[in-house]
Amino acid sequence: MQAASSSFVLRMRRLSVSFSGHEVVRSVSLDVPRSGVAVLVGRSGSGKTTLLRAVNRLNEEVPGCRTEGQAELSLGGGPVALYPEPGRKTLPLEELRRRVGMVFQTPQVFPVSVYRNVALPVSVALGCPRAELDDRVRDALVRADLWNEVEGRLNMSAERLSGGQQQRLCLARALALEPDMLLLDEPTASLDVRAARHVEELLLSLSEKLPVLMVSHSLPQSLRLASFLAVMAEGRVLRCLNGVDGMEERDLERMLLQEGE
Amino acid sequence: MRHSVPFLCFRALAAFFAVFVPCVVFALMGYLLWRGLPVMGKELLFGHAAPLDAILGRTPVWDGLWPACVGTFWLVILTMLLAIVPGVGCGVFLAEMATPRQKRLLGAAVDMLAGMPSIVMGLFGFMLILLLRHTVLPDANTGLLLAAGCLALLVLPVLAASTREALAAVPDSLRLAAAASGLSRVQTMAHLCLPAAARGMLGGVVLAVGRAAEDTAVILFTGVVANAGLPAGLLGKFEALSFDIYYISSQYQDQQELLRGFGAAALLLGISCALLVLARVLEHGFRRKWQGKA
Repeated sequence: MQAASSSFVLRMRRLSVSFSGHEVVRSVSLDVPRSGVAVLVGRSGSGKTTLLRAVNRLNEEVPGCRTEGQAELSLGGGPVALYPEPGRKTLPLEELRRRVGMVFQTPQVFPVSVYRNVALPVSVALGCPRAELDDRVRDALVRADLWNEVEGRLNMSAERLSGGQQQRLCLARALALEPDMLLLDEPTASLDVRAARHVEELLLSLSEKLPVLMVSHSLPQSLRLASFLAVMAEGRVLRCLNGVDGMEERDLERMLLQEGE
Repeated sequence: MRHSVPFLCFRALAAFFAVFVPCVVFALMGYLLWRGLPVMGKELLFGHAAPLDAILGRTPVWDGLWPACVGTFWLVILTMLLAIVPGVGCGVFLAEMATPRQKRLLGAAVDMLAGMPSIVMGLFGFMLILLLRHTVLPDANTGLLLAAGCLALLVLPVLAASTREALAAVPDSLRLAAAASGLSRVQTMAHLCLPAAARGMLGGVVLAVGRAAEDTAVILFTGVVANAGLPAGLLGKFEALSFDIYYISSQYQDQQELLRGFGAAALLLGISCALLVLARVLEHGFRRKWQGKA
């Protein structure tokens, strides 16, 4: 497993997640390639979000959560076990979440200024010195393609940005921590078409340097972005596709319909 | 659009009471200021003493309200110093860390404390001093610190409840987003949740300040006297406006003295308002700093 792990950023073996005894993800085995955008697709309630949150162990913030099985991350510096296993080292929770950035379905900006939104995690979680903060905030905002829009109003409340801008701010916040992997939970679900396209383009360009794992319930979007596609239903991964070239929406639709039965 | 009769009645009632409450507030404050303002002045505060000397404590003030103002001011400040940390701490624990069972037990205890009549709190302080006298501290006596301690007990539940409510109002999604950014629970608490809840917590502080400034029953047993002059220290006797008002209203001999009572009430109102404004300014300054607005 270790020798081959370099081309996969994430490998899961029989991973199950349950909340208060109710199993949401059931014995999933999945290898996520390092390059490109990997997309988890499925109907609502199929366990996509929970599976995604298993990667940065965010499920554990919910009381009554129980995760079983094995998962391994290769973020550089060799593979590490995601969940405690005998005889293997794991990353501390905070470090894991810094290195595996996440963007949520609805933009979760902090109720502070645009600048502080990016600066706060960098200074608090990463302990970045004050003198470097300005540069890091700027870099992150540039990478998230937001700098030109907010340059003159960094001190404005982030809640006054538009939905698309807020989502890119969240992306900037994740990027500012210089993660080794990005998790995105339907990042365009609450955006209008233009803002969604903007975010999609951004993700494609980011995925050239950074492994991206994303949840989507939009089939057209999955076809546009995915270089690896995992189809989920009822907590299981039913099928994995390496590349979706030449596929059409109705092929995917049919696949989902079949799997749902 | 046509509304049903019950809805119209409901709306009319709601509107009536929405106007009623501010009317009561203005009537009360207006009457107080109308009676109190005319007597307001140097003499009301300092009597026949020279103001500067009185402020610096060089001359005792016998027939003015200055010592009571100072007493009330220190009483409120000391009370808040004693109450804020445990009150907020209890609220934080209840909102963030307690198991359901602990929530039930602690919540019941807080509610019970909130329902405690203030006179009982005063008696408790008094009994405490008696106990200390009979045991380890034969010289123990009632004073400013004891009164502030008992008042702190009185306002603790207010602070705990408002902190709990304010933290409960912070959306879980914010906590989740913070956790996903690699912030530990303590960091999330310190840098996001508490600041976001600050305005709600300030509401509790405002109530607590008002309560500490007005309460007479507690300090009656724990060290207030009618003519103590400026408080001599943490353990000294003190005067307080609320007690003065009570004292004057039950003992006044002529119209002039009654008017002094109104003056004292207006002063108390003024001090409370000033403390509230101070709290608001502090919160505002802190909010700007936290939110990073220039």
